[in-house]
Amino acid sequence: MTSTIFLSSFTGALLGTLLLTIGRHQWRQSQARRWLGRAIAIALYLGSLLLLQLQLDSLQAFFTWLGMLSLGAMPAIFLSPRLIATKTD
Amino acid sequence: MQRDTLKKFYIVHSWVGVITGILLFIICFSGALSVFGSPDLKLWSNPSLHTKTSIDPAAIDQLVERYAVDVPEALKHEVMVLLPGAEAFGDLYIWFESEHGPEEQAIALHFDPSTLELIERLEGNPEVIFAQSRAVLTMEQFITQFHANLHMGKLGLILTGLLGLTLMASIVTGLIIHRKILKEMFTFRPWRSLRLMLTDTHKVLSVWGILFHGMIGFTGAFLGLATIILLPAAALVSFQGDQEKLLETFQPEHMPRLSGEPANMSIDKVLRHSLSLGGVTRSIIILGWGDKNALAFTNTVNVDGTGEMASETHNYQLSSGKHLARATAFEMVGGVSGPVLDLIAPLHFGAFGGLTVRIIWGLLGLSTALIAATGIMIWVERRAYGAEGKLSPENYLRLNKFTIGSCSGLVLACASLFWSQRLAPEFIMALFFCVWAMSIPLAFSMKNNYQSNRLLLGLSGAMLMCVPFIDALTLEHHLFNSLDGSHNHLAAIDATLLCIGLALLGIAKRLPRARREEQHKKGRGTKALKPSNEEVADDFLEDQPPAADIVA
Repeated sequence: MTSTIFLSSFTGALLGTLLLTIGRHQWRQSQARRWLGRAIAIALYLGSLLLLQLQLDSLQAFFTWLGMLSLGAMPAIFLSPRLIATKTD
Repeated sequence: MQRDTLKKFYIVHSWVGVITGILLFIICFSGALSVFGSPDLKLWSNPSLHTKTSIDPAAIDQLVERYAVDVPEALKHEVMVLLPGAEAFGDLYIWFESEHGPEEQAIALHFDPSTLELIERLEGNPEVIFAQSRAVLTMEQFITQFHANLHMGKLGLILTGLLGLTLMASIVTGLIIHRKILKEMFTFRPWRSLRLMLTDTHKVLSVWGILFHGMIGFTGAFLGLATIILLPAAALVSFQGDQEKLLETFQPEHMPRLSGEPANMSIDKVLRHSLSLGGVTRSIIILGWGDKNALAFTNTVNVDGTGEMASETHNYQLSSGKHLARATAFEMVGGVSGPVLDLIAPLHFGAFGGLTVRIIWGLLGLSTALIAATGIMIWVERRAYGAEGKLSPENYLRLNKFTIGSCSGLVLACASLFWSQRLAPEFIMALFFCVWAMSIPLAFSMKNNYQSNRLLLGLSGAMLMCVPFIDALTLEHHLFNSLDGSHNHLAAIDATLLCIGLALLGIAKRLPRARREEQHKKGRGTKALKPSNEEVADDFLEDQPPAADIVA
C-alpha cells in the first residue's frame, strides 16, 4: 500500500511535468490544447499531494511533495527530448 | 536590471561556484549518503542488528538496577540509557554521570543488544570516554561525521556552515542572472554540444530543485554554525555568556526538587508507555536517581511520517511511571522560532517520512552535488574551448582533471568504505583517505578527462557490485541466504548496492572515451580568435535557450 502510494505520487509529478514540457514545445499553435495540458498537469500535481496525505501527516506530506515534484520533474525534462523528437520525426 | 549589473552577478556566481564547487560536491555527496546513515547503513554496518532485536523493558530495568548498585552515589546524578536498534544507538549503553563541571566523571557500560552481556566498561571523563568509544568508527559513523565536519572538528563545522551560506548565495545570484527561468525549466538539449548539455543539466537540476537546495543551504548553515557561533552569541546576549544556563533554560530535561525519600525506579513502566506511543524510543535520561521525585525523560523520534515531525521528549515521574508531559526539543524557546528550530534537523536529514523520504532526499542531495560538478565543468568548458579565460586550455583542463579526481574519486572512496567495513574495520578512515588521495594522480595519469571519469566510476561500480559477495564470505546473514525472511533489511541493502554497482558500470561504459573532435577543433579555433571584452562578458547570455529549441 505504502509503496503504491509513493510510486503513484511520483508518477503524477513526472507525468505532470512531462505534459507541461510537451505543451510548451509541441502545442504552440493550439492554445486550447496547451491550457488543457496545463490543467491536467496541475490536477496531477494536486493528486500527487493528496495521495501523500493519505500516508503522511499534512506538514510532512507537503515537504515530501515538494521533494517529489523536483524528483519527478528532473527525469521528465531529461526524457522529453527523446519523446518529443520521436513524435516529430 | 542593467546589463552591467547582471554581468557582475554572473561573475560572482561563477567564481563562488568554482572556488567552493569541489567542497560543495564533497559535502553534498557525503550528505546524500548520510541520509541513509540511520537506520540503513547503521544496520548494514552492525552485524548485531542484522536480525531484528526487540527491546525488553523489564530486562533493561533489571540491568540498570543491577549495575547501579555498584556505582558511587555521586555518579548517579544523571543516568542515561541509550537504547538498541538501527534507529536508535545500535547497541545498548548505560551511562552514569556526575554533575556537569570540570571534575565531571562517568561510567559507561556497553551491552550486546540481544544477549544483554556486558561488552565494555569505560570510566573517567565523559569526553575521554566518548572519544575512546568512537576510536573505531563504523562506516555509517564515519560518513555522517565526514558530512558534518569533514573530520576536522570545530573548523570543519564552521566550513560546512559557511558552505551552506555560499550555496544560498549561488542560488540567489543564479536566480538573478537567469532571466528566462521558465523557459530554462523545460529545456534540455543533449545533442547540440557538450557545453549546452552541461548548462541545460545545470539549470534543470538547479531550477526544479531550488526549494530543496535552498532548504539544504539554510539548514546546513544553521546546523554547522549553531553550536560554534549562534549558541555562544545567544548566550552572550541573554545569559552573560553562560551556555550551560541557556541550555538548561530551553531544554525540556530539568533536575527535580529531591524529597530525600528513597523509592523504586520504574524504568520498566516508563519504557513500556514510551514504546506504546508509536515512533522509536531512543533514550531515557533519569535525573534524581533513587529519589521519590526522580524524573525520567524519554526521547522519541517519528520514523514513518504519522506522528510529530520533530523529536519529542516525554516526561515521567519515575517512582510511579506516571506520564507528566511531552515537549519537542525547542518547544520551550516559544514563539515562531521554536517550531522552526524543531523542523531544521528533520528537514535537513529527511528524517521524517521513512524510506521514501530518505530516497527523495538522497537523490536530491546527489542533484545538488551534480550542480556543483556541472558548474565547474561549464566554467572550464567556457575557458578551455570557449571565448573566456586568459590561460592556455591545458591549464583549464588540468583543473578539470583535478575536479574529476576529487569528485569521482570521492565516489570511489565511498564505495571502498563498504569493503573496509567488512575486511578491515579498524582502518576505515585511513583506507578512505588513501583511496581518495590516490584517485587524483590516477585521474592525472589518464590520457584525458573522459577516460579518468570512466575509470573511476567503473571502479566504483565494480566495488559496489562485489559488496554482497564479500558479505556472503564474511557474515552469517547475507543476501544469498535471505529467503527465510530473518534479515530482509540487510538483503535489501545488499541488493541495492549490487544494482547501483551495475548501474555505475553501465554509465561508465556508455560515457565517451574522448571529446568529439569537431567540437575540440571548433573550440580551439574560437579561442585563437581572441575575443573582445564584450564577447567574453556576454558569453553566459548565449546559453539562454531560444524558443522551441528542444525539438531542433
